[in-house]
Amino acid sequence: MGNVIGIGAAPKRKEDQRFLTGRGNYVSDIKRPGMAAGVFVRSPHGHAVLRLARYPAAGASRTPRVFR
Amino acid sequence: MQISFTLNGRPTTVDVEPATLVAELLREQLNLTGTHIGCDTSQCGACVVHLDGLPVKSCTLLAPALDGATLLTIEGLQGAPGSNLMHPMQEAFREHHGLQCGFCTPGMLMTAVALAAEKPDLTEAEVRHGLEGNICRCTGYQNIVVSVMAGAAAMNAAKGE
Amino acid sequence: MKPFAYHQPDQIPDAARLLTSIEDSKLVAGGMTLISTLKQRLASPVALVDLSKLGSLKGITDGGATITIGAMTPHAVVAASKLVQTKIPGLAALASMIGDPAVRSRGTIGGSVANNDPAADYPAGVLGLGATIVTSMREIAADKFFLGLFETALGPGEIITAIRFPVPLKAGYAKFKAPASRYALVGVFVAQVADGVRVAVTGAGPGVFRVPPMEAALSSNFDPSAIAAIKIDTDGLTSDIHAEADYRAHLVTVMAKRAVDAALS
Repeated sequence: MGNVIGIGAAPKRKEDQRFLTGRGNYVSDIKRPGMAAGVFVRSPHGHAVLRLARYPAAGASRTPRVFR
Repeated sequence: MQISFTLNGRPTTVDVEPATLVAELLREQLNLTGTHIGCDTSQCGACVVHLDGLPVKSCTLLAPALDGATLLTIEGLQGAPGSNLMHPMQEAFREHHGLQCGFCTPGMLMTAVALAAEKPDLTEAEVRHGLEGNICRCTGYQNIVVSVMAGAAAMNAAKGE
Repeated sequence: MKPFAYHQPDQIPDAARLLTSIEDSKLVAGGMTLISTLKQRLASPVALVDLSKLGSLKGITDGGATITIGAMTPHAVVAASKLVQTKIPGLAALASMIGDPAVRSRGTIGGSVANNDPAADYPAGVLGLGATIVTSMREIAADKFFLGLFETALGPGEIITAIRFPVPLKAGYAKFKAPASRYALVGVFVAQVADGVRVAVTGAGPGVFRVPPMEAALSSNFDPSAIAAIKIDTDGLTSDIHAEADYRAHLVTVMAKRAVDAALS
């Protein structure tokens, strides 16, 4: 198949070099100044009435380095 | 606590909390993000590194275990020492399309290199058994197995020279 | 993970002293179970006592009629040991089936036996071979060691230093593994020893157990056909998302036959 051109060819991929050497730079690899990580808390109920919403989760705003 | 170890050939000393995982240390403190955290439960193998030459899952390894040890990560994997060439296993993965999105690839490579180093004449069954702890959601493994067989053969040939 | 203090003693008495003197401290061997437990916050000890600097706990020694494996010997070393492969190939095979290569690099026999996970492989080999657990205080027969779900005969401050296995006439292990974790859904270790046959089952119930009817049948005829008709009672067997109790019961017979096959090959 080495000499196939166009459809059916197996061209070398340009992106492979960085993936193979650990330089892929996925979203979780990115670090920026002042960056924060977000956490979603989702309802465990598919269909329910929201009676009381605490925001943020109790205690979170008092934990160092956690902000709202 | 202070720990000293050899990281990809360089003496390294860091100050860490004992409750630090090696994967976290590498990615957050040492900025070596080639080691990936996939499942974080030591099942997927995206975080595999070599500790004193043996494959280990860095998401299930405490930093104090590094003290006095030698650690090799994907960033330290290379062809001839000091060269810019890729390792024969990396070349084989490129040649045989052993990757797609690339997320599992660093762990796959580290496991594959350890596997090939331990046993020179790998059978396909041994490769599949040896890759049990590395999960890939893209390739269906076929090309990874082909790549590892080819990479192992290339490592063997290079050793014979 | 909650923060903890970290101790790396280089003498067994020091390790035992740390373990008893610090309330809520835990031993860590290879960490293959403990670290996951800490990450999920199922445990939050104030201190860990790391056994990795205790060099005397590593290695495999030939005692002629026995093989003694140091508690801190990793699975990969047992699997690759020429001594174990020659004298108890079934045990080397068992070690080669635990987890995956990375887990086998770190996980230790002492850690696995002390943890007594109901689906771990080693308890089946230890009970199946009728091994002796050597601790910092005494020696415990396998039959008296495994007490149920994650429970063992180990007392406070007691540390496993080695496991001593009698060399059997024949032994084999077969397991049906859960595909993601590679733990045993059911694993059966069969050993033919001088005074009969021992059959030990892991994964099927809350702890490793023996199967006397299979042992009796295999003692008179060590062949898979001897146990083909022996069914296990589903009472007390585990039902979970991986398999119902009746499926596990069925697997015990199938895996026991395969283990005998493995022992004979």
